[in-house]
Amino acid sequence: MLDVQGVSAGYGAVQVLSDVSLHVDEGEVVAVLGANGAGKSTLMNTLVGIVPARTGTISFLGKSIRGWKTEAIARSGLTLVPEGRRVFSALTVEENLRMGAYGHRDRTAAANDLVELLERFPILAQRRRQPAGTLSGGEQQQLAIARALMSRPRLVLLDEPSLGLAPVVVEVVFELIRQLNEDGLTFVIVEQSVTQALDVSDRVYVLAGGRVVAEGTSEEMTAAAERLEASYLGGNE
Amino acid sequence: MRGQSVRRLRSAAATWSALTAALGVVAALGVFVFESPAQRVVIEYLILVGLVVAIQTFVGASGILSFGHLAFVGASAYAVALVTIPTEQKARLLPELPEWLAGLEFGLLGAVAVGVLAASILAAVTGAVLPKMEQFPMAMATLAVLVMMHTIFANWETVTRGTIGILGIPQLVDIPVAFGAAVVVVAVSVAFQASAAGLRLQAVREDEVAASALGISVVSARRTGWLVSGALTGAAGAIWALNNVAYGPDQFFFADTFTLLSMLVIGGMRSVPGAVVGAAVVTVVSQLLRTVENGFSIGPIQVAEFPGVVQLAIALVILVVLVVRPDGIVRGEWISLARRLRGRAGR
Amino acid sequence: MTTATVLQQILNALSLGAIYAVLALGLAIVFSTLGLLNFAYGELVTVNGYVMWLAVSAGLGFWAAAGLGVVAAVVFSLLIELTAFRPLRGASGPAVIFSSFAVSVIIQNLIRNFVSPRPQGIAVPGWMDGVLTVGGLRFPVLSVVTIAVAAVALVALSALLTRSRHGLALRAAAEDFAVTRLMGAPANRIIGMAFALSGMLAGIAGFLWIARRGTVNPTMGFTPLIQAFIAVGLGGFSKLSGAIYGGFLVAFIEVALQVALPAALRPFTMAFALMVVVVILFFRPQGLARAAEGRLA
Repeated sequence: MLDVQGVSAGYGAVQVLSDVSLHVDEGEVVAVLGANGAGKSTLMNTLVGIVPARTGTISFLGKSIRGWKTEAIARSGLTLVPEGRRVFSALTVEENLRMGAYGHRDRTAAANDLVELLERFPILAQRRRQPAGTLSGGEQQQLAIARALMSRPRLVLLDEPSLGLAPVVVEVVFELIRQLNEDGLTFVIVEQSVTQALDVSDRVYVLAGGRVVAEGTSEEMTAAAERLEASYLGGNE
Repeated sequence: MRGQSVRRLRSAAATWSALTAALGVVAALGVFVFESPAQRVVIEYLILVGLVVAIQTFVGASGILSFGHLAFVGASAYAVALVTIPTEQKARLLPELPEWLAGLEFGLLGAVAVGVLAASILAAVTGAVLPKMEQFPMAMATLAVLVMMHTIFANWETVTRGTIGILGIPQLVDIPVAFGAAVVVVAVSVAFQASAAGLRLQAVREDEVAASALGISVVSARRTGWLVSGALTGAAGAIWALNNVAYGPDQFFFADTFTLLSMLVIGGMRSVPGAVVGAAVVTVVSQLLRTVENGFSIGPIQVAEFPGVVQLAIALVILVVLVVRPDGIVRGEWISLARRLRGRAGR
Repeated sequence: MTTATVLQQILNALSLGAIYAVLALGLAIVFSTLGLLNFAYGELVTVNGYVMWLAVSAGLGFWAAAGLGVVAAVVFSLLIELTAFRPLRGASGPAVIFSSFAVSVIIQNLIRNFVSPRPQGIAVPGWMDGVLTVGGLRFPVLSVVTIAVAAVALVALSALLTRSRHGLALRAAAEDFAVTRLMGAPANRIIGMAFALSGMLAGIAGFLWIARRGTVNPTMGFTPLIQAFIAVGLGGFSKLSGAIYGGFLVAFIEVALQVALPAALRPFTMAFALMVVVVILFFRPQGLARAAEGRLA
């Protein structure tokens, strides 16, 4: 579905990503892990065209989207839930959702989607007319995801969905991701919280210093992590 | 860290020397080669260098456009007038001055000191408020300062003679004086921008969030730059006043603000050499176009006068420069001319 | 001061405030959407004025001329976006401010040379100079008309912003431009809308202002620019409604100063008003309007 080959990108004189390649198949949940500053957010921003890719190819659903404007990429079905949620705090919950459907011309479909999403996210339905800024962190995360769903995306990029949220709330969010994936939505999740990400994803890429340093299925990664942990705690030399 | 500051100072000294040499050439041409009309242009240019570099000290280092610096020039100029007009003439021009002012009559250095003082007071007062604002609002606030001072200059008749304007300031500036003043202003500006305070301001310019994370007070850094720049503008403004000898409130308003700022934009805001180069370019273009402004004839064809063509042309040049080379002719920052020259020599 | 005088001054302040509010909103729309200050904004009023003058000289009625003037302001606003802002997208702050400064200088000079540097008079319809007498109080017709027109404009704009899809996009962009694009809203269209609305508001405020002063001259643009900026600065640069409050506040300060200052100091009204503004900004650099509800620090 999404195929990234040899992409480099950066800000001004600073090169952040070097020769990054990955792919995402339909229906998968792919996690991108790495420490702070590894380039995860930059990668997400590059995929949606906020940061221009300097080299390489990005193709989505068979079309090359490198160099496309952000709004065009969004309209083609690839959408990003940005780091820190970034809901429109002065707008109401409902307005946020309606804004999510902006790219779509079909107003009736959008109206139906709105009703459906409010059913699925009862908390949002409750706070429908409240300014989004009054919602708690977890509720805002739900709103951000729901807003992204309003555009009927094929692939959703999630940038650090657990950031700043209490562990209990994080559980809820990841459960939501699981459900949506079961319903057929493809995800790429950028995370610092390794355990949750491994739990929900099918495959993992690890980023460090702007490069892909490891990739594999989540089972392989989890097993490797457990072995590492065991060797630390087990032998003492 | 020690090594770095030594290198910075050396780089600053090199830049200053290079600029002094360049300006020295211009001054020498003016004294020994040029004749009267061209000599006036040389003096004007050297004075402009002082003004533009003084403005650059804040605008370039902070990245915030200031429309208000002519208010400093005006404050300095009127203060200079108050202390240099010969006592007899002063009594006639400004009869309602308090006694202690009416009696004052300073020479060149005293006048410059007074000019610096006046501008510094204005800088201190405005500096209490403006640096607390964000970038864009502060830029617009400087506009408010310009308008505010213009209103005061135009209406405080006991001190400024209002819109009629003031005259009688002694002509104390010749090419050597203008050259000397320019050299001093460049020296102070270069020194400030290479100093710790200057670097802090530039750090804020580059990345406000990162700078404050490092413990740099954004407001403090901007305020320091504003004060230093204000004082320098006062000094350059005093020299300007002692050359122009007669002026009114409209000289410290929009039209001249535009001309000065355009020199910065065209030459490159980020460095002192940029300011010097920008002043040169605009001076040359203005002189060339001045003939057009007054109308001229090509053989039998009479080209009508076109007031404001200079401004118009400069504005168009600016738009082109901004699109093609937004950082100005002298791009980039603090790269000393010396280092660049060494690079060219293939070291 | 009699009650009648007080009421009349209040009406005066309200009508002046209405003009400033509309003017300030025009500036604020572009600033909040793009974070850009349009230095050529005042010239929109100038262009509006000169188009009106041309129309009236050509024989058109006042209201037709006013309509044409508003259209001209919208067109010029879009032109300014094309020439001063679009080529510089992504450039540094000073570069962008300065490019619109350059455009404003160009417009001023063109008018000065191709029309005339001297002020031109515009005939305002006689009935607008009249005075309504209600219950012993005198209401200048012009003030009433000004308030009415401004009110209609503001209500219409508010409806556009809250009810329509495009208005929603504009409000979203005012808060977070990048994310709005993520929702598929085209950047150029949003920016174009912002500038078009800005031009329309400048045009409306413009003809109301011209109706008060009756003349146009090449540099008439900078007073509206300053007033708009002060109003936005007082109201808070980040909220659109702040601009409206700011506009009324500036008007009230101005009228209050004119009434309270002794005659000797009256020419300094502008300076004092600016000083009051600076003092207010000292205590609240972010402006007076309350921060957007729930906005995280």
